[in-house]
Amino acid sequence: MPHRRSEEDFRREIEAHIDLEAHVLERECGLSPEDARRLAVRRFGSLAAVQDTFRDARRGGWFGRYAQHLAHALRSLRRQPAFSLAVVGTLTTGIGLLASFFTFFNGFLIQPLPLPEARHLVHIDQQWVAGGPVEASDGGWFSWPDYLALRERAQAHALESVAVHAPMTVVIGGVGEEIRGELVSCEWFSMLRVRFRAGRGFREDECSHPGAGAVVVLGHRTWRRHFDADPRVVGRTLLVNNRPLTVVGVSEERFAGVDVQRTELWIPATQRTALRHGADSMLARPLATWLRMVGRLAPGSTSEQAQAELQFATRALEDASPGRETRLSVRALRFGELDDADGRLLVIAMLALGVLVVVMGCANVMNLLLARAITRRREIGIRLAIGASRARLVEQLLTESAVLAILAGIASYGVAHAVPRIVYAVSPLANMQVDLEPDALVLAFALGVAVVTTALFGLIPAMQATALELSSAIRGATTVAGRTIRPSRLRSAMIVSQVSGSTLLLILAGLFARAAVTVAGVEPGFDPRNLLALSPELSRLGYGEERARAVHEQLAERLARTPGVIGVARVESVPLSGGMGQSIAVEPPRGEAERRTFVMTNAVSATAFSTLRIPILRGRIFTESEARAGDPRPAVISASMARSLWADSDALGAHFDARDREYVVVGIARDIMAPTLDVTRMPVAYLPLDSLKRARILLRTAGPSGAITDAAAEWARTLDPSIVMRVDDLEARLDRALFPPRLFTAVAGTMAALALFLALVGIYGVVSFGVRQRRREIAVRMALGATRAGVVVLMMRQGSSAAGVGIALGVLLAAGASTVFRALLFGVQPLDPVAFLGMIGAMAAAGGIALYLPSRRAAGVDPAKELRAE
Amino acid sequence: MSTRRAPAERDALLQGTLDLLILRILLSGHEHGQGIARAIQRTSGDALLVDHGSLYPALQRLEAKRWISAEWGTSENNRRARYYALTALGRKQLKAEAGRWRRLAQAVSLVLGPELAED
Repeated sequence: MPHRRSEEDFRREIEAHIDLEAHVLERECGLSPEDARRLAVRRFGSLAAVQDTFRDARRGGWFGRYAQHLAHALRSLRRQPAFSLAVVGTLTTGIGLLASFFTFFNGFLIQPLPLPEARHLVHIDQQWVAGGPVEASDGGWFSWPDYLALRERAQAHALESVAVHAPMTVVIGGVGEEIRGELVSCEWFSMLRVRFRAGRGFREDECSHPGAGAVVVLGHRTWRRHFDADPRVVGRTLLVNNRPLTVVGVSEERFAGVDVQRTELWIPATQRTALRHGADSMLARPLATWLRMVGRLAPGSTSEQAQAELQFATRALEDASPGRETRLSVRALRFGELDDADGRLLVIAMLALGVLVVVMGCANVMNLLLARAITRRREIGIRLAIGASRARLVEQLLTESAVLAILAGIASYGVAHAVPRIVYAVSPLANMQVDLEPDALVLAFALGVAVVTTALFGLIPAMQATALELSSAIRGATTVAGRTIRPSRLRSAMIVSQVSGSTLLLILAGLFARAAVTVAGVEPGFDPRNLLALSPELSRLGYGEERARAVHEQLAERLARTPGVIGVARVESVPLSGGMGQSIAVEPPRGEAERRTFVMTNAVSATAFSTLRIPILRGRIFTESEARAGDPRPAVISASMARSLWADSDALGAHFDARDREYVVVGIARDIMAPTLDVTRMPVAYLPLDSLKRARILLRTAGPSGAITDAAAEWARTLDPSIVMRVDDLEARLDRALFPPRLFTAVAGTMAALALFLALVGIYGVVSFGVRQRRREIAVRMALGATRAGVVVLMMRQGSSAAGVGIALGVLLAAGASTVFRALLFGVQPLDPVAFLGMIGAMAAAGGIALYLPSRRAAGVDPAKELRAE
Repeated sequence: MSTRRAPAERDALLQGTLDLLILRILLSGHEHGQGIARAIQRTSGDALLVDHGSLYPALQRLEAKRWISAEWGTSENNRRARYYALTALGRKQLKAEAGRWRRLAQAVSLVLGPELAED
C-alpha cells in the first residue's frame, strides 16, 4: 500500500536507483566508480525536494507538512533548553505582568456589573461649589431630601430612573451577628433588574415616609445561613438591630449589591431612624449627605446627556436652598472608582509599567532569536545547498517561533490567572465581589502579543538567515548578505535600548521603595501596642442614654479592677477608623467674617489622651467637671487643625461652633495618622464625650489581652445577651492601614528584580552573540599577537560604552517619568539622589558582570583552529 | 527539465505528460525507476532530459491511483530494485490518455499550419 510505505523503504529505492545509474555510467561511459556515482547523483536532481514530496504525499498534504514542522520544532527547541526557556520566560514575564494588571483593572474598572443590561447603569455624584460644606457627611453625596427632589425631575429623557443606597452594618438575630447591609430607596431592585429567588423587592409605599417599610430583602447567602434556605421564608421576621422586620424577598444568588464589598441584606432607607432607635435625624436634613446615587440610562442615551439634564434639575434644588450650588457628574457604574486624580495616575502608571516591561521583553526576545538564527547559518546553508526550498525553511523557522509564542501565551495567561489572586489573598481586602478571572480578552491579548512578537522578531531573522549566499554561509563567514546594517551597530543599539529600559525600571523601583519606607516610618501618633477597642454598639440595640450609661459604668468598674489593664477610656470614634466629618464654624480673630470649614470631630473622655498616649503639645486636657458644666465647652484640637485655622494667632483660647454648641480650645494635641492612602495628618477636634450610646471602650493592657477581652464580652452578655461586643486590635488596624505602602514596596521590589533580570539576559545574549560573530576577527588578532586579556577588553569595550549611553538615557527617562508621577511618591523628591545614585550603581555593576562573562569566552578562542576552519 | 526553476508551471503541464510517458514505457513490461528514466531518454532520442528524481512524485501518484503496482525484485547486476508494472486499470487509462494526447497534438498542428519559414 503506497500510503503505508515507510521513508526507509523509499530511501532504499532511491539508493538503488542511484546505484543502478552509477553502474550503467561506469559500463557505458567508462567512468570511475566515484565519478560515476557523482554524476548519477547529479542526474537525480534534488534529493531533498523528492523526499519532501514523498513525505507530503504520505501524510496528506499541507496538514502533514505542518505536523512535521511542529515535530521538528519541538525537537530542536528541546535540544536547546536554555534558549527556549529564556525566550518563553522573558515573554511570559512581560506579558503576564501586563495581563495581570489588566485583569485587575478589568474587574474593577472596565467590566460592567453582573446584572442585566448593566451597561446602562451609571453612578451619579455631587460636588459642592458653594453653600456647603455639608452639615454632616457619612461618605455619601446626597441627602434624602435631595434624592426625593431629584427623583421627580430626573425622570426626564436620558435617565430612566434613579435610586440611592448607603451601607449600614447591622446586628441580626437575637444573639447578634454583624453583617453588612444596605439602606436603599424602594426602586432599587426594579431599577437594577434583580431577580428574586423568593418573594419580591420593595414597593413604593414602603418608602413613602420616614418609618415606613419595616421590611427586609435577604441576600442569598443570608437566606441560606440564617434561614436554612427555607422556601417559605417570605413573611417570617428577622430582628435587625433589635427591630423586627418582615422578610419580603430573597435576591438571586449572584447579586450582592453594587459595591466592591458584598452586601448581605437590604432595608428601605426610610427605616434608618428606626434602626438607630430614634437617635438620628439624617433622613430629614437636606444638608446631611449619606446616600450614594445610581441611575439607569434610557436606551440610546449617554452619560453626558444625563449629566446635562440632571444639572438642569439641580437648579430647582438650588432655588429651594438659596446659596447652594452643586455640580453633578454622571459616569458608568463599575465596582471600582477612579474618582480622584491620584487614582487615575496610579492606573496609568501601572499600565505604562506593564507596557514597558513587555517592550523590553520583546527586545530581548528579538536578540535571542536573531542570535540563534545566525548561529544556525551553517546548518541552514547546507540545507539550502542540497535543495531544500527556501520557503519550507522559513516555514520551519516560523513554526519554531510560533511554538515558543504559544507556550509563552499560555504561560502568560496562567500568570494573569494567578497573580491577581495572590495579591487579593495577601491583601486585607475581604469579601470582595470582583471577578478576577482573566477573560477571553486577556487570553487573546496574551496570545496576540506573543504571536506578533515572535512572528515579527522571528520572521526577520528567518528571512535573513535563509537569504544567505550559499558559499559564504557554508564557510561561516561573518557577512550578512543583503542587509546594510553593520552588525556592531545593531549590537550597540540593542544594548543601549535594553540598558536604558532596565535603568528606568530600576530607578522607578528605587523611588517607590523610598516612598514606601518613608510612609511606613510614619508615626501613628499614638501607641498602638496592646491597645484594643471594645464596641458594644448599644445604640444599634435601641439603648437609651440611661441604660447605656449603666452598662458602660458597670464595664468600666470591672475593667478597672482587672489586673493587666493599664488604661481605660471612652471614645466615639476609634483612631484609624475615619470618624465623623463635620462642618464647624470658626470664630474669626478680630472681627473678620465668620468662617465655616470641615474638620473631623471625635468625642472622647478625658482619659483618652493618656490611654492612647497622645501627647499634649500645648495647653491641657479638659476635666470631667468643666466638660459637664462649662459654656463654652472645652475642646482639645490637633496640631494640624491649629495650624490651618489659626496659623498666625494662638489657637489656645479660640472659639468655634460644632454640633450646635460653642467650644473653646484649651489644649493642642499631637496629630495622629489618618487611614488614607497618603496617611497624612487630618485636622481633628476632640470634644468631651456626652452620649454613651455610641461610645466605645479603649483598653490598654500590660500584655496579651485575649483573656481580658473575652471576659469583657462575657460581662456584657450577662448584662444583656443581645450585646455583641466587637473587639478591634489597633495594632492590626495599623497594619491594614499600612498595606498600600507595603504593596508598593512589593511592587517596587518585583520591578527591580525584573529590570535586572531582563537587562542581564539581554546584555549577556547580545555580547555572547557578538563574540561568536567575531570569532574570526578575534582569531586574527590573537594570531597577530594580541593577548587573551586584551581580546576580552576589546569585547567589553564596545558593550560598555553602549551600556553607558543606555544608563544615561535611562536616567533621563526616569527623571521625566518621576516628575510626571510625583503624586504617587508620597513626598519623596522626584529626583531623589539616593534612589538615582543607588540604582545607577546597581545597573553598572550588573551590566559589568553581564558584559564580562561572555567576553571571557573570547579569550578561549583557539586562533589556529578558527583560521583553519575556513 | 531542471528542478529549480518555476516548479509550478512545469508541474501543471508536464505532470500529465510525464504520467503518460511512464505508463507507455511500462506497457512494454515491468521496470524500475532508473530503467524508466533511461528509457524515456533513449526512446525520445535524448530530446527529453528528465531529472531522474522528478519521476518519483509521478510514480507515487500513479501508484496511489492504482494505475501501476510495485514490488521489490533483483536487477540485472544483482542489486535490489523496486519494479513497477502496469495494472489493468492503468492499461485502460493509458489508452484513454494516449488518445486524448494525440487528438490534442493533431488539433494544435492544424492550427499552427505548415512549418513556418525562417525570417
